[in-house]
Amino acid sequence: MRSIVVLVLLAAPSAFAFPWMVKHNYGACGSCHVDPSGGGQTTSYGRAQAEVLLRWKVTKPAAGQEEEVPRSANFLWFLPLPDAVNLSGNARSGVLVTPGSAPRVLLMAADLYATLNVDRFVFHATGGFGLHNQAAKAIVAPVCDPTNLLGSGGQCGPSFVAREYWAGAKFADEAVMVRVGRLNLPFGLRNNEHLSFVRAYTVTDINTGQQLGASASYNSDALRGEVMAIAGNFQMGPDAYRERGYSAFAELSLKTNAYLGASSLIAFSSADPTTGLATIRHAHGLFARYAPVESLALLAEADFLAWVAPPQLDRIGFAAFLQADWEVMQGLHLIATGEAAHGGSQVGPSLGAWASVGWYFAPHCELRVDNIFQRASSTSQVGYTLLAQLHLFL
Amino acid sequence: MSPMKRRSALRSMVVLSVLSSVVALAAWTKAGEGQASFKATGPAGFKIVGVSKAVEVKDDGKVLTVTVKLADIDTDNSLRNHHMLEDLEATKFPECTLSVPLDVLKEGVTDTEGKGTFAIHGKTKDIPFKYTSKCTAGVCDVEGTADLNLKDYEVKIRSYLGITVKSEVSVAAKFQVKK
Repeated sequence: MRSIVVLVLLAAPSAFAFPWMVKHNYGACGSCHVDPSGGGQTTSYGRAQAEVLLRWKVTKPAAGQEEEVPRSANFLWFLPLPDAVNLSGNARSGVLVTPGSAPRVLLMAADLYATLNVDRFVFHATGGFGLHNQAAKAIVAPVCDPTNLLGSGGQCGPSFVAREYWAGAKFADEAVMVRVGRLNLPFGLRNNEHLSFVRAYTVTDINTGQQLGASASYNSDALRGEVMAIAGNFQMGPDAYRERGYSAFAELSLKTNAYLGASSLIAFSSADPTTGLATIRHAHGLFARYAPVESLALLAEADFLAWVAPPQLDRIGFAAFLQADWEVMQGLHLIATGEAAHGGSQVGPSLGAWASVGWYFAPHCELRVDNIFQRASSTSQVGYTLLAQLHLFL
Repeated sequence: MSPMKRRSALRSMVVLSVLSSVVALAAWTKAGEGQASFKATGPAGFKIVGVSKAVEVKDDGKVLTVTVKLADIDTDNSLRNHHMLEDLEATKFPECTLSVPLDVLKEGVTDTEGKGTFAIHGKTKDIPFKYTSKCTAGVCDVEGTADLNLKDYEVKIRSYLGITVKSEVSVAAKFQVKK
């Protein structure tokens, strides 16, 4: 399990999602994101909201003083596209500083997104560059051997990366969407911090956690959810590493500012990438989002984990996450995160604490600094990592 | 019932009836803060919540009128606020009101149905609503909800960057009144 922690530290973040938008009464995600469960490419409405609600503003414009459609809602900040076509991109680069080591410059993502909307049908694909092992699980070519991820470090890159590609159809006034392709696994909070234990231990991050499968999602103002049949990650080989199973979540709106969700995942692989054993992986948990006041969002998730190597239960564990996102002023976020996890094999729980700042200083531009303190087991030292990132989401 | 008990019951009824007519003569006035809100929904779980902290309550002796100035409603999004005021033509029709005959209203009730007249965008329509009133020593905390269809009020529904809000909207108000 320690190797998973190391692995996620190597796999730096590229994703973007905004679960804290609950404080602006955006409990569902499908109006702002192409993915009905959130994260990744934004719709033109989402890009406009990024300008209105996300970008740093010292003073908010008076009613009637805003641009009707912010110019930055267009492709490359200025280029209008036909309604049916949505082109955008995601570029994230940064520096990872660990005491005692030379700073590492990371190219976390350089992806282009394309979506075509034809009546009720949606076709979506992403493609870009991944360097070294930072996006190994999403690499199309050359094929990457996951057993070497912690080896020489150069086995998998530079490479062409395709995180998502899917076709979907919307029904029931867009409340229902059925999709087939390479999808984010529907599970828990769709948070950006996929170094966080809840995303790493459940392997449900939106950076490189996508798998092939089919899903059905439902979104209303009171309830949202998605269930996915997992066919495996066909960008990893051999087939023994691929998982088959399901992943699902449902989230209920208790009030306009309070949401409670439950997730469940069971997946079987003939060879677990960590142990090499045939394994049934379980993750089942609860998550919540709450905005007690307009400037504060609280996010929480707790998951029970089990790894069964038939015929016996191999390990049980847990992962938990609690985050407070305080928007000091529009566009400037102070974020405190606490987390804990146990993978069943280490001595004592892994613990983590994050102190982060996110500054959306210009249209579709974010500067983020994370101070990450993590301890992999009770016998290990607390490690410190500084991660500074510049993120452009077109 | 004995003649004595019958006389006593009659006396009580007369006293109660006199008391209630006195209560009816005294006008309700607003006490403390109030709040009004609306919730509109759209495709794929889209939701807009607008809130106003300014609620006016007036009693003319026959009708209790709850008034909200549209300009006071905040949807947490300045562009959306602007759209809302434009769509409701707030410069021409700056308020929305719910008017309810006093004889419809009851004190100390929970989730009770009533009927009133809702006015917005220069149009009026009789609508059912649900309300709860908790009264102590002449002070009542009132909460009510109603469902509207903006088409009934000839409000043109806007589409903005692929999002069109449904015409069905729920509204709510809570306030405190005293005699």
